[in-house]
Amino acid sequence: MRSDMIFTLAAMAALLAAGLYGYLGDEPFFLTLAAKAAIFALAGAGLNIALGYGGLVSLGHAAFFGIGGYAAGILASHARNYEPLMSWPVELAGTTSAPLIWIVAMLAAGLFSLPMGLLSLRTGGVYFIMITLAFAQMLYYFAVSWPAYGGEDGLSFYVRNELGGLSTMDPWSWFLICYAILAVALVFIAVLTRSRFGLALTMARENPLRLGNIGVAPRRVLLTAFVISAIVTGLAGALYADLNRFVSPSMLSWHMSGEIMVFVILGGVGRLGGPVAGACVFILLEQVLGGFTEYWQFLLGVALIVIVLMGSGGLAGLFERTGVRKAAAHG
Amino acid sequence: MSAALFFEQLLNGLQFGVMLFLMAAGLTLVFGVMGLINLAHGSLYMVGAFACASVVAATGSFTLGLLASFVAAAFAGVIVEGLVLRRLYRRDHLDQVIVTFALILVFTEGTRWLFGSYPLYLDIPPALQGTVHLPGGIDYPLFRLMIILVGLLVAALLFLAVNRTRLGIRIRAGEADREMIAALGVDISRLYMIVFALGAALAGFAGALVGSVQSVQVGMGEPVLILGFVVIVIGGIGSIGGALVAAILVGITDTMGRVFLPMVFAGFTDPASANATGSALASMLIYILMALVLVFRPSGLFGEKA
Amino acid sequence: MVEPLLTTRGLSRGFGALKACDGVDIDIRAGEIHALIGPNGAGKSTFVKLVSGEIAPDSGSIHLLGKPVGTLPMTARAGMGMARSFQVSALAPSMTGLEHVVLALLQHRGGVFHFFRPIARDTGLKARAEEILARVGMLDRATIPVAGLSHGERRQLEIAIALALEPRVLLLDEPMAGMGAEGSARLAALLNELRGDMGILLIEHDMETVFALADRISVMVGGQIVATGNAGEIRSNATVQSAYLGDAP
Ligand SMILES: Nc1ncnc2c1ncn2[C@@H]1O[C@H](COP(=O)(O)OP(=O)(O)O)[C@@H](O)[C@H]1O
Ligand SMILES: [Mg+2]
Repeated sequence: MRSDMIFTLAAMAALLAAGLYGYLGDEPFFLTLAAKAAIFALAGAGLNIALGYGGLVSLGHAAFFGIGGYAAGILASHARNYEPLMSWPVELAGTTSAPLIWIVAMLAAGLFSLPMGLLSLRTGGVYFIMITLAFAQMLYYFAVSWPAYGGEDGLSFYVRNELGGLSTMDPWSWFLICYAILAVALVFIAVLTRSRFGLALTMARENPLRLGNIGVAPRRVLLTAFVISAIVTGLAGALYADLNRFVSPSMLSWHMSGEIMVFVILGGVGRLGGPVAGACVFILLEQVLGGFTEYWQFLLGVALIVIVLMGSGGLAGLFERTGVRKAAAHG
Repeated sequence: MSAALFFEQLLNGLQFGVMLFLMAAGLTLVFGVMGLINLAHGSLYMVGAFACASVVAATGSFTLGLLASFVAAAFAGVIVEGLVLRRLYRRDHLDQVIVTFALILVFTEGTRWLFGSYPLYLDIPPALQGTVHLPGGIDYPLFRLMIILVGLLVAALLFLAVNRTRLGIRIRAGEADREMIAALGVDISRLYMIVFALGAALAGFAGALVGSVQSVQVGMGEPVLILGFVVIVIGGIGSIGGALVAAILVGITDTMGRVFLPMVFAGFTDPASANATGSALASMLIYILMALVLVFRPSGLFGEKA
Repeated sequence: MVEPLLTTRGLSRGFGALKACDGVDIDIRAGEIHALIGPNGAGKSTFVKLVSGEIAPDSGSIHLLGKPVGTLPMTARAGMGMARSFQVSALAPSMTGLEHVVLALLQHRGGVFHFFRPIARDTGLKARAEEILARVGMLDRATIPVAGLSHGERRQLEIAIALALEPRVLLLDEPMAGMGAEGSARLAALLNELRGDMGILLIEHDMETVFALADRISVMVGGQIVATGNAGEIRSNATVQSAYLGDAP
């Protein structure tokens, strides 16, 4: 617990330092990258609730990421075109208010995750992986073939959504917004894992039979965790859409699900700061290796294989082991 | 809607389903025997397609191309199994998922490196071009008909192999009890390698056949992989018969949905929105089918009760 | 006579051709310790699994506090006051003993669906958990993750968890196996204390303990109950003599 906290603070400090460097050095591209890292970290933190704390290997989190993205894109494009979202039974207008969009994004992702979780938790184990993957793919194909919001080409909306008097188009402000949301989410997750529910979730992961034996249905606990997880990742999707001022089906693709999982694995599964470290490293690799060769994901693949086969527990695991070694050397 | 169109689409669906079966069979064998969930199965499909395209381009012989797809995918499978996957059999699902996801990246980017991003098109040999007259006045492409027949033949051979041969008995014993076959004195790591190579070869073969009707391109394997999962969920894990039935069900549902749902909607609304609604719904149809199966038979149509 | 807390009638379950439980009738009365003895493979653990709801019976009925529970899920039976210890410890390796007991306590204290309040702040809960851990002699090891506990300590934790559920009916599947002499003696004393408060089904191989503790004893052989009675009756029962006690370890 202690070392997890220190690791989380270190990862968050590093991300903030990256943002500050971009701000002071007047490098908007760098700032945008830092904001992207914060958003990916948030998506990974969402997945980590299901994957790390609940042991649910979801390969469908792109669905929630994409739903969040489309919620932002659709609401904003309606508001900008002055077309109501729907006119029957009640007239609903679009909006460009960021907080409202975030709430809708979270609600939409949570609502979709409920039936998806119910169905995929019916059998569990390896089925869970296949079913989450399949439902996300269903949404992907739907987005591709539904022409109203751009279909395969996606949907652009030119200006970021509004938050109070802040200028969201300013990279520094935008980075701070994303960073603050990430920080709030991490605090929320830290609180969650220390709550009654967090204790039950650990038991659901490590010994579901025992959880049932003490009167709590493991499936209800896992489903709840899955929905919370989807809500957080959905929020990340809304921010990502705003970052790019663009959504497309690629946010819903299986490749996206895999990438979100990679953020978590690289950083450390079930560690609070894992996804933060993982997302930062991912973007760093993308920039450094991607500068080398456009086939950088080949190298990423090799690195991932080596990391997992060595069973290192990601960056957080590395951090812990060096910490333990130091402590042993001192005491 | 004419009866001829209906029948033609039925055959298209059957062809799609048979190809899906070749994918799903390997997936379910590998999972049943080794307990491995292999996301990189779609990459082997792609390897088969590219091998076929390359050999056809070099030699002009389609037969050699098909043979190459089989051999290349099996070979790639053996290498991947020996170098990486055999270390994963005792690991948890998460490790398996992430490593085989990483393998997809390696295969995909590696292939892009070698062949570029543009799709390749295969020429079907002249002998297999043209159409055949089927009873009922239907003209159906000869090549597609051949795919159906070859696919069904391979399925039949697979059934025979698993149910009648000594290898098959060992495979089924391995599904039932991993310790037991070790006690029987079977060389497990060789058995695993053979099963994996077999699954890979089937996937590669399917890739070559589908690649020659559509196109051969990087990333072609993953959509089919996911459909393979849908087939397995519907059919029930570990059941080859279930996989065959489910594959054909999925193939036909998907194909028919895409053709006929827009027509159905055209009965209610204007053509443009009928087309949009119909095709959007059609793209989701098999997943809805999967959801229904999960509601009523959570362990699949032919799976054992959990 | 008061109605028993737990009643099974004709409870049966097979595995393939094997009848692991074959028409078992057992009553557990309020305040009694009812021992279930029998050779290995007799079907005792299967009986406990059936009663607790881990597996489903092929036929027969289970009544808990007068209500049929044979088709209810395990969680519902736990909620009605049935607790069980596992023959093979079922614990979460990364959680401490204290956390296990606290989690079990939540059943009667508002459940687990609370997301914000830190559990460590709930001092009343912690105090109660420590009290229970002290009773089983685990207080000084309470904050060590289960992965670091010995086999005997895990057995003790199993009992603590069961007690935290504040059960009406307690099913103990060989709780003393692997506990050591000191642990077994403490548990025997504890069971003696608990006797008045709940009905206890005790599966145990050591005959001395069984005869010392049990109000009634049922003997199971080959999935069937061959005799039920008090210690004296069981000692002198001819069927039991030949079937079981004669070649007991
Ligand atoms: N899940 C199972 N599958 C097959 N056979 C089982 C299973 N569980 C128990 N058995 C068999 O049922 C019989 C009774 O087992 P058990 O109830 O564990 O006996 P006991 O607890 O009295 O030693 C044994 O022969 C055992 O092998
Ligand atoms: Mg037993």
